[in-house]
Amino acid sequence: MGVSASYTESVFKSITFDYPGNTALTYEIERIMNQLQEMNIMIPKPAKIREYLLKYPDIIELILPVVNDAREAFLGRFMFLDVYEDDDYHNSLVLYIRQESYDEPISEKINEIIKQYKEELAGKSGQIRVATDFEVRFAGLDLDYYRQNMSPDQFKLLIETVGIIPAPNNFDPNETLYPEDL
Amino acid sequence: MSKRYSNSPIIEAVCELRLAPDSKWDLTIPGLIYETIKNDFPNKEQRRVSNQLILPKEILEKPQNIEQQLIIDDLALFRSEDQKQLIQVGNHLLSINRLKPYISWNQFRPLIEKAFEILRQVAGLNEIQRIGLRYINRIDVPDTNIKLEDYFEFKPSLGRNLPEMLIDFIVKCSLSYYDGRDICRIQLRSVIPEDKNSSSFLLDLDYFLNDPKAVTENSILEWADKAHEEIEKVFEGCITDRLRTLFDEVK
Repeated sequence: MGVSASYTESVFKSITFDYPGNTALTYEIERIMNQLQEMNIMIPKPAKIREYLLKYPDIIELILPVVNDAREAFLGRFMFLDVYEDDDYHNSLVLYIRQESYDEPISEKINEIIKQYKEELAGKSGQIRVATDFEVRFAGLDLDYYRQNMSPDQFKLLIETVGIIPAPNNFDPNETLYPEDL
Repeated sequence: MSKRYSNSPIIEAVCELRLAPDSKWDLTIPGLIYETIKNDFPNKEQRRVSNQLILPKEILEKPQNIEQQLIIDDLALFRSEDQKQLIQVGNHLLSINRLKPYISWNQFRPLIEKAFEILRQVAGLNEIQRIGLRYINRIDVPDTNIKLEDYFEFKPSLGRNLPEMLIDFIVKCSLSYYDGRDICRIQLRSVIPEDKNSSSFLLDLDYFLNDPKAVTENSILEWADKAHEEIEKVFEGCITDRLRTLFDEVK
């Protein structure tokens, strides 16, 4: 059955006029954040993500592809998106992946993901990285030192608990978990 | 007289103009526009946006499938020194954006007027295909256990037989104005709150021209004034006094 020219014209008319063109930055940002939430990606500091994406909107189009690749590579892993603040010129979005053990060879997989986007990222003002959550959970801790000075069981306990146990803002893991105390 | 709020929820106002695909356009136009506005919009960037359109199977003559088509636009983005005002230029497309804090229509309108005048000079405004005025509001309510009807007149209705605890939602409708010349699309959705003790919603009001022949080069601003007037009424129609109190009405 054929389609009349007037019907075709009216459908195209409705498509064209209905299409706002994604020029609203804030709408795009909220849409992406909602999609991440639906994909079970935690966003602990939404205000930081909103602020970053408003400043560097050219990175928006890469977020979902990178997250999708990470989800495929690390099926079922806990992941969260945050802003890594170095200085104003090197801030970046980071998708953190829960590393389940200290010795897990995870970095190769991460490098593979980012390698695919190297060219596209090179021309962007914003940046997105994928990393393990070790650097967040164990910031400031010299893990090699602890590994050398602890029994395997003690070290395992440290890895399993630090950064997960809710703690007050002034919590100092170096002081609290010094090997002699364990 | 329109209402003014000291704690306004507007996070972005956008006026977008799309010219007909067969109208005069070439790759030098974004550069020509930048040359004219660079004193006020010195920061230039680029961004790529994509939209998935679902085309009906009759159009594509593929009886088994509904086809999705990805439309990609590369936009040149020019920002003001304070980063709060943007002009974006894409293929047959120009948008003027004002980010929070949005002060008033009286301040936004001259920017629209100026941008349209520049576009008229470099590309002409003879064949307008779409013009839209859009206000995006993020409404943060400092409570997690709220009844939507306390804050919104425009809201999802679940009927009597479903549980009341909504986790998230999106509700959307389009209203016709002036015998179908214009359409206002209202969308309310839950979004990720700024903190754990609040609930956040996005109220997106997109008022656009549905009949391209109805607006000419000379009547664009008149159309924009009318669009703004209608959007204000829609906004007020969507919220309750409880939100007005939260927004802190300036009397």
